[in-house]
Amino acid sequence: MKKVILAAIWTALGLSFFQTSCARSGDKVVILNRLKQAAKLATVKFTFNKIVWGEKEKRLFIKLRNASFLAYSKVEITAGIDLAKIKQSDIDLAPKSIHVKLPPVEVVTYSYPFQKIEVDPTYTANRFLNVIRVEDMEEFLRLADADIRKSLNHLGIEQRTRENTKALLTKILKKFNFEIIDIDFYASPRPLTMSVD
Amino acid sequence: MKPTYIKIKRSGFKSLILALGLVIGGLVVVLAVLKGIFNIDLAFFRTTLNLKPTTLRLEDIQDLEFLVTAEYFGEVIGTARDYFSRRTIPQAESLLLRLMNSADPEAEKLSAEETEIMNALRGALIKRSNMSSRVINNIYDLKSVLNFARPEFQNDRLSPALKDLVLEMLLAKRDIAYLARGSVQAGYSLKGLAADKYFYCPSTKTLFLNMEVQIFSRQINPWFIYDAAANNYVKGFEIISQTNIDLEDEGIYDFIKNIKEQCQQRLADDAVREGIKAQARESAERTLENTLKMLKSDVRTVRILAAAEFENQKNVCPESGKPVISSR
Repeated sequence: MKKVILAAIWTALGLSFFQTSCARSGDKVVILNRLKQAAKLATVKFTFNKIVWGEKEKRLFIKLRNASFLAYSKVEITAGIDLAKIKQSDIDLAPKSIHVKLPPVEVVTYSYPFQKIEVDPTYTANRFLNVIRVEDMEEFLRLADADIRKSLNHLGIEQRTRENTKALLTKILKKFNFEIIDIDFYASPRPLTMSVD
Repeated sequence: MKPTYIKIKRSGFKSLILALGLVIGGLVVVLAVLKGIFNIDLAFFRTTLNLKPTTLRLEDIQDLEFLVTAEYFGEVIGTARDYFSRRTIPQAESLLLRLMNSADPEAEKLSAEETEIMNALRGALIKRSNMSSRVINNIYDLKSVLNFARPEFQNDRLSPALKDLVLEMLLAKRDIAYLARGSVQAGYSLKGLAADKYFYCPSTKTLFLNMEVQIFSRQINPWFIYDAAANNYVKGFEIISQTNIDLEDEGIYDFIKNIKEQCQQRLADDAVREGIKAQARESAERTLENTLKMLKSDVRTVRILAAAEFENQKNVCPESGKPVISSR
């Protein structure tokens, strides 16, 4: 009997030792595979270059030599305004003039296209017992993506988007025979938003 | 019960080394068990990924006039099996056809991808022949390979059995499956809206527009949701499984990109199947109606039509061409 119990304990320990850790799914529920209506006016697209340079540090009692990862990538950010957020109270109409207060500038599309990520094999180097795996590559790209998103406010997106949106709407409103067109904006939230839900 | 002792009959120094080795070995096992069972983060086994600070350099600014009126958020799976079935097998069939029709197949130049396909075909033919020594001995002779393949290649298509074996060989070399989450955006470009592409019909108070709905973007980013404020993070690409993916292999990055591209294509197909184009049209009509209403326009209805229907409506409405805002 003792042997059976011992065997069971060892089996359980063995199984838990060799089990792969299961990634817990995100706590927040994301509704996927759904359509959503939108009304966003995209007026400018920015393309940025980003070098993804990372190192994998590994310790097996002692610190092993760092493996390195290098890739060249591009980020495309489309910005504009959400037309659905314009309220009647934001528009002052007179026979020949109009004053519009537009919703804040927001990121309409944020794209970090994998097609434009070029890994540099010369500087992406494995080391003894420390190799760059495909999971590491994906993690480096996520780190780079997070880094870019954190700097969205400092890229001069807002000013340029305001100018472009103003120019486009002035052109459109002129077709409605307005002679004086005055456009201004609500302040953008910090950080610049990218709504998903 | 007698206690058991391990007797080490060695000289003092050797015994010390052995004892030290046993202690270290035991320690490693204990630490590995701690890490394996309790997932305790141990400083001596730690692996960390660090991103070095690099700046973002502006490359280009482009003026847009896009009205995004529908978005689709979806989740798809892209697998190497699917990629090989859809792309590599047809490539293998065209390659075989080319080589079989060639006067001198040996002189045909093969790309790196085609060489891989030929290697998979060789493996498949050996397996299909039940490891026949005749096939094995002649497998590097291209003419023999084509002769072995000929009975399995009817109407320019590989037989299902050989196709499955080729797939098996390709997957044995490398296999990966991704779960991907991303979004698709559709709407209209206002840049192409020329004067002859819209008219107002005063009798029905309808503004007719002739515009084609476009898919502006279909993107899967490393992060699908990255919302630090709400502590909400959802990955864009997640690896479901992988076999033999070595980043030092030639062509591996293109292979991974191809699988990701397949995910992106699926996402766009799903969006179209779910009706993103119809949603974009309806949403654009509502948006324009609301905007025109706020500008005190006479327009009550906006209709976006395809070219033929647009021309038809133009003929039906006798007063087409009047200004959109007549009362002001």
